[in-house]
Amino acid sequence: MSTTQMDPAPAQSDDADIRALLRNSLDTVLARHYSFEQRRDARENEARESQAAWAAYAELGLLALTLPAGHGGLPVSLADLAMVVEAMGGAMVLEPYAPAMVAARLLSAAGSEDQQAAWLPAICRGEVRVILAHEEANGGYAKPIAASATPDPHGWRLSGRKSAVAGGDTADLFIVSANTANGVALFLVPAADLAIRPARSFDWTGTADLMLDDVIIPTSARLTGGEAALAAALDEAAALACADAVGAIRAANALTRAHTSTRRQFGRSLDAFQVLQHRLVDMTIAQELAAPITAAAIAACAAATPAERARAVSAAKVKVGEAARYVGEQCVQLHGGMGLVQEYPAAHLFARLSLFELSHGGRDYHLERYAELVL
Amino acid sequence: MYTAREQAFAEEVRAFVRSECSEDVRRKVFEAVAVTAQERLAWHKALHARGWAAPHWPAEHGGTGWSPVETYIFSETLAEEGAPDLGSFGLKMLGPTLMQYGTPEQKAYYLPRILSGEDIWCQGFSEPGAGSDLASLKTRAVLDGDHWVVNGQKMWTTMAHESNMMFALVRTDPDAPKPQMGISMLLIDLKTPGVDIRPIILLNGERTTNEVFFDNVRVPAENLVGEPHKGWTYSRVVLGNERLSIARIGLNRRQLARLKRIAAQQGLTTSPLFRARIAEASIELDALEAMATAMLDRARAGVAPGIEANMLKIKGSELQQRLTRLLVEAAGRSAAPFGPGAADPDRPWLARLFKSHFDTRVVSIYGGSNEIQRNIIAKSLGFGASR
Repeated sequence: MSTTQMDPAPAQSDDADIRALLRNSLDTVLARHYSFEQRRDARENEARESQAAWAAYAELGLLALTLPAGHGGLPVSLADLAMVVEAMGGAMVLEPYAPAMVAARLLSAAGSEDQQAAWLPAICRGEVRVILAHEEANGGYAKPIAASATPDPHGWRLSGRKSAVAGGDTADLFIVSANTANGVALFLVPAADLAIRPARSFDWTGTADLMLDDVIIPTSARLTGGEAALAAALDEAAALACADAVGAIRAANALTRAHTSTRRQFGRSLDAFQVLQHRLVDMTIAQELAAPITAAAIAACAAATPAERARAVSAAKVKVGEAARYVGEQCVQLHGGMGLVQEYPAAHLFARLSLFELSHGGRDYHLERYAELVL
Repeated sequence: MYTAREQAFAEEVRAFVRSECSEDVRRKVFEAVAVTAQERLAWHKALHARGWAAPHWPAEHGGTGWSPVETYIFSETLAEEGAPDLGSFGLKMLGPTLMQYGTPEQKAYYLPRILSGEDIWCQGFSEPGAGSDLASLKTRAVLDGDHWVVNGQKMWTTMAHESNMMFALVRTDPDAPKPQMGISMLLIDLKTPGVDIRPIILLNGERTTNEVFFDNVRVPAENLVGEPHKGWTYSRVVLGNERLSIARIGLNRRQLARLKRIAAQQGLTTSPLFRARIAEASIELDALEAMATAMLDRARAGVAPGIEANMLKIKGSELQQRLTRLLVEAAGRSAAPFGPGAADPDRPWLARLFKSHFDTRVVSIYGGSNEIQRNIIAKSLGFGASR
């Protein structure tokens, strides 16, 4: 079993200016590419995402964030990356930015020098999209992994199935988790070598099932790192998903406030009714609880021990999950029928927040893991 | 909760559904697949042939003459067995309203056509600016000779695209001292020139609801229900119908069964946390059913349901939402793929779970939102009356 740890990025940028600059350019890119109408059009084009936006992310260096400078990366902090992910959650981007960054970071933490040199520069330039394929249909979230890798005269033979892999429909390269006789291992597999069933999720982001039917891959496809690196990547993925959800929660609250201040019934604006004021206050409290606990989880991913990291991430996933559910549902409820239509953002935010709750381990998984750590 | 005689009746109804409603259609209902208009009409005709299309109607109009309790047992058994909903607009809302307030000609013409399924009705109440505050509606009708000329817009008009008739609230007296007093109810043939039905597409890609525009639509004067300017009173009667089945016990039972089935398939029936949450939902349903039973007992004694019906609407809708949320939780991220071609051939039901979760968000919004229901209860209990 490998004991490789992910190389933690510094928790804070040395230069606050970098972060402000990043934030500015990011806002510009999202404003240019992610109006509600552009998002709808992007979903309807052939790639079912915005290729222009992806190119803009690459040009801005967003696809290189936190990756090693020696391979074309921009070594900023994980908190900087989380800030970007949060903004993308608010804009409900369709491209799998966070999943691709998690996988690229896993490659930089668990890949050999040769593997990194072979792939990371193209990943940073946006030419190759790498995605971690881990979750399985009935296997729960973290373990056990049912997919198996057995030695073969030509290298390894992979079999099993990966389910609803976020971004799997557009990936060029996968990092696939599988069980070997000696524990969990990770393998780099080009998408072209796999049977993939692509689909859209109900929030319009892309997903895919991977059928690993005795896929033969060379020995050199195996990453150096294994179970520990995977565990760190899964926690990062969950923490970054929390950041995405915080962005969507902020957007849902802003949308709901705008609606309730302009919609009039019974001769006054909706936000003049005390019962709705209290609802809006609770939505705001949920947001204010979700943001700092997400920041704490991100910080723990960057610096803490595996147990502290797991505890912080599970705590965040549970609390942000509660906030996502409450805000998503109330955003729809306070919009009335308008909250359900395709031509208005409320239902889309509800869908994104619902999918967040189901992903990266549900509430029960994280409650149980947290209980194991504190009891 | 049922007497032996009522139980025997429930079994008779159950047997009828199983023999007369196609297996295919019932499976669709169980698995939350949309039933087509044709399939719904076929079931309507089967019920009509048996004399059961409108059990809650008095026998003189083609109903069964059943007691409220029998009617309740009938509708909940249908829901449990996966019979498709016939739609409430004609049978449950307009029909009883016409019986009470319609002219003899309206009763003679429309009631048999509702019963047989020849006319399919939709309800034109809500407007872009009039949702919870329905009395602020703006669609105008002006008398011109022997026609009302209608101009304006209705919104959230469920099933308008599958209907040929609409009962609509329109403003006939803009100068009335109170907005409620200037409203009339009109019966509008949707094929009349000037009617434009446009789809509203929901996030799930489905068209179940519409906007309906009226541009100088001429409606025969005899299509005004009852008296002019009394439409508000009639609409309260319309919305007050179907009170006994408001908790949707049968539907919730069906969803609970679906949840248990999917939890078992996902290996979750051994998870203590998930078991507890199924148990909580099941207990909530037991509690609702006990409350509905108490209401039935009062109905047997001739007492019409009061605010307990509003309470059951709130709690029944919340339980529907809880059950469908648990359904997607049971599947986890596997429930993500959605839309044409997304279904996993081994587990096709996965791709429908989010649809159920999404669709039930509307049950706390329509038919008087849960906020409005709570206002009604608060007022009825006299809260704030001493100020």
